[in-house]
Formats: sequence, structure tokens, C-alpha cells
Amino acid sequence: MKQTIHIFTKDLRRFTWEIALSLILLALYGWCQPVTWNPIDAIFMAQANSWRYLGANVCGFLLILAWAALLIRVISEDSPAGDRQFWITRPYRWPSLLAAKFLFFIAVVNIPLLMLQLGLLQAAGFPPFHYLARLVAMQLFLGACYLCVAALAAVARGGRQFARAAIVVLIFFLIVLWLGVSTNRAVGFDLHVHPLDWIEEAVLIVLPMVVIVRQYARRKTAQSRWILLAGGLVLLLLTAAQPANTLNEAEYPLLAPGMEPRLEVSLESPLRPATAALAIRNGKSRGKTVLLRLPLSGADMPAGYLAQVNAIRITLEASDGTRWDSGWKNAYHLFPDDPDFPHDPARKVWRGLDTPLEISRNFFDHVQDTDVTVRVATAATLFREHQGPALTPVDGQITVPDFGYCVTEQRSSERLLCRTAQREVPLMTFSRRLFKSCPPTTEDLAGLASERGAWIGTGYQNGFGLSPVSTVEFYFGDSEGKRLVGCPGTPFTPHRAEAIRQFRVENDFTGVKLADYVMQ
Amino acid sequence: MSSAVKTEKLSKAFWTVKALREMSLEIPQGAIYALVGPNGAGKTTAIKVLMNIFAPSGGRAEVLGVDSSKLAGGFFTQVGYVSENQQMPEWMRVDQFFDYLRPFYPQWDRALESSLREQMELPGDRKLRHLSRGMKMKAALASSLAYRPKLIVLDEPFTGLDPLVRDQLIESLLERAAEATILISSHDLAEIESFSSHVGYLEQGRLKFSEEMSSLANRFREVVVTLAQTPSVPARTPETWLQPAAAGATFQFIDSQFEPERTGAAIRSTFGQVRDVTYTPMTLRSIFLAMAKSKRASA
Repeated sequence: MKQTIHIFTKDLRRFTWEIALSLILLALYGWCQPVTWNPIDAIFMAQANSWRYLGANVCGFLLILAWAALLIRVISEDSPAGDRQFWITRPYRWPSLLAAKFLFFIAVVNIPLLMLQLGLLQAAGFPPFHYLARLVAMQLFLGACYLCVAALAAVARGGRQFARAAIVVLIFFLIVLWLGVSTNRAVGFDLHVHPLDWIEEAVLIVLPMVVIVRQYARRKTAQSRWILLAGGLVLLLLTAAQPANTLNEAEYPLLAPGMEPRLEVSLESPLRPATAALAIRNGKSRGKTVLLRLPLSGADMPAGYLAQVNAIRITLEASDGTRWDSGWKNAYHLFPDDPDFPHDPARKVWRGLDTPLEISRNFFDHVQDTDVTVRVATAATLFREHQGPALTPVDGQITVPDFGYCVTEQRSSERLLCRTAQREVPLMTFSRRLFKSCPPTTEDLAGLASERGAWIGTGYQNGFGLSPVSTVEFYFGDSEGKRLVGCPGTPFTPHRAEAIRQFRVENDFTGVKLADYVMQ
Repeated sequence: MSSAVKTEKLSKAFWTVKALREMSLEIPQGAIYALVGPNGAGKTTAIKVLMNIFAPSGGRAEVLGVDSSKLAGGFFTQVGYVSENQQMPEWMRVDQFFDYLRPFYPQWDRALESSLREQMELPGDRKLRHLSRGMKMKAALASSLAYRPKLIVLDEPFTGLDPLVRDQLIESLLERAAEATILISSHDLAEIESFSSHVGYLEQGRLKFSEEMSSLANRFREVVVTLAQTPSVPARTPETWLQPAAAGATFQFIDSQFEPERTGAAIRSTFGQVRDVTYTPMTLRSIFLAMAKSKRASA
């Protein structure tokens, strides 16, 4: 321990200026961050605020870089790679040296960031220590993100070698990312975790740790580099091995007929059938593929439930048995997204699941004049809605249990601006009665039903995820053009969605003319 | 433990390049051992393997009774290692450098440190990066002597230093010689000869010889044979005769296994009757050059 502290204090002296710079950046970030909690339009009304808004992003980015640079430099200061460093023939104990570097990262990155996060929580009106566990988890995540940087620094001899290695690693990750995205792997990603994902995460976290410890303990740089390279290849193979456009259907069991509640997907009439079909027939668009747009809608979701579509698969089958299969694709849509306002009130149908399909020209030419059967398979999560007790604003603010607090705003429309320090924003919304005027007339009070905002399940966080505070905005639309307003003191009712199960439905539509759905 | 350093068939290869080939040597405790050889002979590699900076590819080595591949951490409180190409924490001032190193060594002798720094005229307030090459070597040496190591290993410490600095380094080193074993690799043969007790000659990764300096000095002689008539270089000469050459009525060579009776007998058997024979002792530098040249000639 004594040796660890001794090396650590030497590093503090060595990098005094760099540490000071990172702390200044962190302080600037902390100064800029609260501005980003305001609504975007409010931020850009004042020039000073717009600079601070920009500053939060720039400082966040620079901080990420500055910490990486500090980590690289502190490791290189007593580098475990190479044969000329003076320390390797001095009585350094490798666990002490490694611990000193670890301590440096905690002292220079984690602790200042933690302090700032506590301050930000305080400034945002949250009890800081209530969220301590989450903040510690954020620090661990940040440390895990820097593991690869530390491993590279531990096997690189000097800055140039590190820069070269970093470029190679960057290109490698871009390839892995491209491979993952372009082949549409990890379908249904938000709720479904592919077994290989765990191995990938283990490789990304455990492998750099093994390399770092091994490198400090044994200084076998060539072997450590081979291990890193092998790990990269394993990642590449794992990404390539994940089946493309597939869904683990066992996690989304097919709903038996009659099982409720269920989501009925229907194929709507084509949006611009005549012109598109004509364009195709006249040969104006003769690419190798044809882009179709199938306007799908959802119906039959009973009150108090909603379905989140995670993935969709469309199969086209001609009468002669010729088939085209899209495979599973990621999708995201809520049914009903705005329960009070169906797109087709008579049928209680909500649109929005429009799926662009790129099919081969050959297949299209083969089936365009015949009737095609379209099979739509939808994988979704069913949620049950829970209504919380009404919350009456006090000085324009409501406190939402297990979430955060929200302030009301009246601009072009009624708006509820919420701040939360939760790790994940639950799928939720609010309802509130709107009136023709304030204070409401007796007629108003008797006649108007409550208005509900759209369901929102994600928060917005500015500045590279370093802040524990995120914001969510709920709008209460005047969708029927009645110029309705929210009146001060009218309570808000929170609604939360609780995930019940995942399911899959399949719907067949016969007699479809594909030419009617061409997007050209 | 009678040897400070002992190696058995120690080898080191970098991919296909064999830098060290089955080197076996023994350095007795208290010796001042000079490891010499031409550039690229493997001296630095040998020292780095001994210091566990490189892992050996074959064979084994013991340093102060410990397997060299296990040298780490606390063991280095007994070893002082100084190399010409060592990377120092150059941002530190000399004072800071010594302050930083001191806690690593329980046996650090502050009085000795002061004396060494005074003797070497090390300016405490100067950063290491602002020191001349000679001053840096002095700082490195002083920081490696102040804890009274049992083994002092110096890899080309005198390269590029002016004579004054060299003398200062040697003086400091010799003051420690009584209580330590010293292993030194160097090209500066004239200096080494003046204080080494043992010498090893490394060439192309192979240890050609390793012996006491006095034995080496006794073993090598420059021999001049004067004959009655102008000689020609004989077709066959003993293998121990290096650089044979005829000039006028004399024939010269260097005998690498000199023994008066044996060498005399070999001369008589090669030339028959000779008019005169002189044997001249050689300096280490002359021996080194003879070894190197004869190798080059035979290559």
C-alpha cells in the first residue's frame, strides 16, 4: 500500500497540469449542464444559454478525450511494455504499480465526476445521496469503457505505437458495427438478448482486464498483443456468427387464436396507388430493387393495454408459390400511441407501422400483375397501464413518486417538462383536463374529458451521458383544434406501463397487388 | 552461493535471430567482471536476460542464487542496474529523483547518497532532461549505488563520456567494489583493464572465453620469431596462433594459449632452427582486436 501511494503521488506531481485541465473541463461541464435541462426553445431564447448548451456537449466530448489521454499517459509513465524503462530493474512490486494507476484513475476521473454528479443532482432538486448506488454504477460503467484504452496503452511502447493501435482498433470497431447493423443482427434488441451478446460483453470487459493484469505481472508484450488480437477476432466471429435477420421466436410465443388481449395488424389501402404503379409500368424506375411501402395499422388493443412492436417480418407469396421473405427487422411502435385519438375512430385503428420493403426487381416483375399473399409477423411486448393518483401542481410543479418532478409550461401548447435521475425512464405518460379558457366555465367542467399526452419511454440526456439528470417532455395536444388550455392547479394523473409478456402475431392478407404499394 | 552470477547454456533468440547462443559463465562473488565483444555480439542481450528484462529462449541463469526469470520487485533492492539507453523519469529534478527512489530501498544509505552526489557534483535543482549525458549516467549510477547493492550491473556505462566523467564513474564504482560484485559491459577496454578482475569475450552471441584477467594476460603473447633467412608463412600453423604474418627475416603471430615451453616447442617444430624469439605481453585492447580481426579474417 505504501508503495502504491508513493507511485500514485509521483503521478499526481507528474501530471499536475493535465489533471488541472481535466478538472477545469469538468467544472465547465458542470456549469453548462443545468442549462440543458430546460426546454430547447427556452435555451435558445437567450444567447448565453445557447453557448452553455453547446458547452455541455463540447466539454463532455473533451472530457472523454482528456481522461483517455490522461489514462494513456499515466500508464506510459511507467510502461509495462518495452525494455528500457528504469522502473523494471527497481524494486517495484507489480500489484502496487497497477494499483497506483488504478487509484490515479479513481482519484482523477471517478471521484471528481462523482462529486460533480452529486452537485448536479442537488442543483436539479434531487436528494443526491439517494442516488449514490446509481452514481457508483455510472463510475463503474465509465471505467469499463476505458478498459480497452488502458489495455492498448499497456501493450504500446510510446505515443506513436498507441496512436497506430488506436486507429486499427477504431477501424475494427467500425467493421464490427457495420457488420452488426448492415446485416440486421440482434433483432428485438431492447428486450431480447442473444446468448452470444454475453460472450461479446465478456470479451470486451474481461479480455482487456486479463491483458492489463498479465502485462503488469509478466510484461510479455508480444503475447499480450496476440491475446488482444485474438479477442478482436473472436468479437468479429461472434458478430458474424449471430444469425442475420432472425429473432429468437421462443421468446415471442405465437398468440393462440382467441387469446386476449391481442394486437390485430391490418394492411391499409395504398397511399398513392395509381401514379406509383404507372411509373413502374412505364419503366421510369428500373433499378435492381423496388421499394414498397405497406401501410400497416394496429387495432383491437383493449383499453388499459398497449403493445410495443419490437420486430416485424413480412413474407410475400405469389399464387405459383414464389416467395420473398424480409426476415425479421427491428421496429419500434406503440399501439395505441395516443389512445384518445385513433387514426380511424370508427374502427379504433392506429396507423404508423409503415414498413419500407426493398424487394428484388425480378421478384416484383414476376408477381406485379398477380395477387400476392402478404404475411405480416409482428413481435411485440404487451404492457398493462397503471394509473397513479392525481397530482396537483404546487407553484406549477408536481412531484412524481419513483420518477422525479415535472413543471408545467404553457407555450404553443400545454407542456409538462420533467426531470428524472432514474437510470431508465419508464414507459409513461400523464393525463390532464384541458379547458377552453381559464378559469374554466361550469360548462367546461361538465363537458370535457381529460387529455392524455403521448407515451414516452426514453429520456433525453445532454453531454455524453456523464450527467445523472435526464429530461422528458410531455405535450398535451390540442388535436381537435379546439384551442384548449390547461388551467393552473388542475391535477395531472400519471400513467405507467408495466410489461406483462412478449408475444407474436401473424396476419395474412390475400389478393394484394404489389404495384399499388410501390414507393417511387 | 559462491557465484554472484551463473549461467548454463543461456540462449536468447528474437524470432529467427539468435542473439545469445548457449552462454555458460560464472562470476564469482566480489569479482569485477568485464563482458566485452564487438558491436552486436550480444552483451546487452545477455545482461537484459540476466536482469529478467528479456526471458531466455533456452538454458538458465542464476543471479545472487535466484533464477533470473524470477527476478522481480524486492529482489532489485540487491541489484544496481545502469544502462546507457535506460529511460529515466526525465521530468524529475535530481533531488526529486533521489527522493522518489529512496523509499523503495529499506537499506538506502543517505550519507552515502550525499557523498556520491557530492563526489559526482550532481546539481539537485536541475531536471534530469536538462543534464548532459555524462551527468545523467552519474545520476543513474549514484542512485544505483546509494543502497549498497550486492550486484552492480553496468551496460556500456562509459560510451560517449569524456575522460573526466569516466574517471569519476570508475572511482565511485571502485569504492563500492569491496562490498559488491560488478558486471560491466563496455567497449572501453583500456579503462576496463585497469580495474577488472575477470573478463568474458562474447562474439556473435557465443562466449569465446571467460576467465580471470591475470590468466588471460598470461595466456596471450605477441610472438616475434627471427629466422636466419626470409620465411614464408607456413601452410599449417597451430590453431592457437592468431594473425600470422612474415616480414623480412621475422615471423609474427599472437599465441592465444601461451606457455613458454609449449609455444617454444611449436615454433621449433614449425620453423626448425630459429635465431631469436621474443614474447611480449598484450593489453586487453590488443587481445580484443586480435580476436576480432582473426575472426573477421577467417569469416
